[in-house]
Amino acid sequence: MKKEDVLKTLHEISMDPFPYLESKREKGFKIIGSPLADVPSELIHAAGLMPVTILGTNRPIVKAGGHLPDNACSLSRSNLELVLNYQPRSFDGFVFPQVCDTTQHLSDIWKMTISSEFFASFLIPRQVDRPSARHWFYAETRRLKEQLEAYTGNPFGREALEESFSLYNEARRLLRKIYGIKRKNPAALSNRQLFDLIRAFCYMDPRDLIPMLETMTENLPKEKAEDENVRVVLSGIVVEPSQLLDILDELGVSIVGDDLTVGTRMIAYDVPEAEDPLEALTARHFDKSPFSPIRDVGTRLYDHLLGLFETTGADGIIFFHIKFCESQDYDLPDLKHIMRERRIPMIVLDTEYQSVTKAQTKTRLEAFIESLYGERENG
Amino acid sequence: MIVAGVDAGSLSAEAALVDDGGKVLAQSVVLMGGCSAKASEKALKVALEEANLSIDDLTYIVATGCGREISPYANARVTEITCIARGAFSLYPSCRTIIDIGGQDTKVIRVNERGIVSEFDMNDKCAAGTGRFLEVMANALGVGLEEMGQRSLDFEEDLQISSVCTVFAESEVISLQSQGKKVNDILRGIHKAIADRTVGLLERIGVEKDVVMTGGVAKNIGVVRAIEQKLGLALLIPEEPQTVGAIGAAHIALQKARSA
Repeated sequence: MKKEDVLKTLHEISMDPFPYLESKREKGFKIIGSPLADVPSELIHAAGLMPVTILGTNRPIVKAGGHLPDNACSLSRSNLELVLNYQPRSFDGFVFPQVCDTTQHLSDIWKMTISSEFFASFLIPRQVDRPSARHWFYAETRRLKEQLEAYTGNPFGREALEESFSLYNEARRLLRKIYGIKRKNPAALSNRQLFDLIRAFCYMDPRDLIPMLETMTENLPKEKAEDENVRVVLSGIVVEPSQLLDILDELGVSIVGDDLTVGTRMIAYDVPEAEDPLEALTARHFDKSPFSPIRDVGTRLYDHLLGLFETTGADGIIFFHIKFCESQDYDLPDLKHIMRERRIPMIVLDTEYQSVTKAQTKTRLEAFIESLYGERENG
Repeated sequence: MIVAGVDAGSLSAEAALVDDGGKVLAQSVVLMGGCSAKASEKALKVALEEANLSIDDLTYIVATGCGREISPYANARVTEITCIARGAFSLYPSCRTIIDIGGQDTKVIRVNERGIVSEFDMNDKCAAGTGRFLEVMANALGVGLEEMGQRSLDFEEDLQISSVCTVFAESEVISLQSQGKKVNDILRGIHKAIADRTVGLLERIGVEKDVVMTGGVAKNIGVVRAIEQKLGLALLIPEEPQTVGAIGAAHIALQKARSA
């Protein structure tokens, strides 16, 4: 497969993973969906199932409004809509993480509304600085493993888990390598193409993805070639609608880093080696960078973003705020204050899954980029 | 060298011609309705006629506004946020905050001491509290758009319009009329509702003096006074607040022509 063919295939899967998932199902895999974030895909994979991160739909909300209020976060509404309306038969089961108040309620709604062969809640501790959080996460991981074994009827052990760890670690390593190439040579692939690969990681079996990523790493230019583009760090949970990445490409912007959940946070943290595989998954979880729904000691979220801004030498930060995401809503006043105090240019973009062609969003992004170029010219 | 800025807005188009010293030679405002190539072309034509110049005399043209992508003749296209900031800063170098209320959106902009945009925000989704909102209210009350401001200053009763959703506010206004409330009092309530919304938007980016107000709604003295009252400070209003974006675009054209 040529590099161009890989990019085309992964773009198609990133926009519509369901034909690919149907092909997996035809090969005998059960499809297990999980909304964001932090469900250990490796565990589901080791059970012989096909784990998929559910990333919502940009199509109109029709049925979800009957179950979730209009001011529930756009991600939750569009996830529910996707499974309720557009892909009702594409999943065999769900592992549902509860990371915020909305996902906690959505978990119950999901269980009562959507029929599936398998449903497991995965209760993730939100105050990660408590010592009990580790025990909690470990116990939840063990509980999920037992539920998966009961569903498939096949207990699985260390060997299967380590094989899955190894596959996912390898896919993440290759994605990090590609990100690194883009950082050194922004023209090597577009912003959109980079995030297509990360989204494909959410949807694909690493056994299928790894050969494609290897083709990419072998065929991307290795030499350093900086450009004149403004450099930005993306922050938030997910860039949706994904067309926003096309706008960034059009505007001459190079992404040099991110703390996105569907981004670096998804590919940066490997499962380490450990005597106990479940302990390894637990350790990985607590290594992860912070994100809005997970609360811990005071300023870790902001410090992490500031550090990213400084180490990447970025010109500014684009914060993607999912409309009505309460967790982000509570972080934003502090975050804005910190950035204003340090005179770090940051724009907060309110995003909604259904606003695919919103001219005003483009104007906002464009104006922000103009101000970054203005700072360069007059700074 | 003469350059031009053209601002193709949602209800009107404006143009400004600037010489290489930054002096405004001519400016125009044409009401066409809707972002169209024709509107920006007409605005440019009117400004050129006023200065007794032709399109061939222009070295560089920058288009801005929601119709910037379809504006003919443009050498470059820049957002209205950047252009309004540049235009306001060129007229008032002391300005640090700008309120722009145009036909379909409200923008609040902070600029630094070099006139570069440091932060901004815009109204979201609907045209609540904008020029179009005022047009609908004027129509509902049977009052001329240009007389709304002055009449609202002559109020007796302090009324409150609770919604700035154009559709809901219209029914609220009709309901107040049916209760026998006076038009001037209703007008003041409308202007106060716009001021609340605008100040709410300003709170998101913070206010630093001096504050300049631009856009067509800056011609409505009722809205201006209501915002001033809420902010507790006087707004700086350009002589022609509608052409500030076009003047900013022309200044950017000058900079681009020099570096070309």
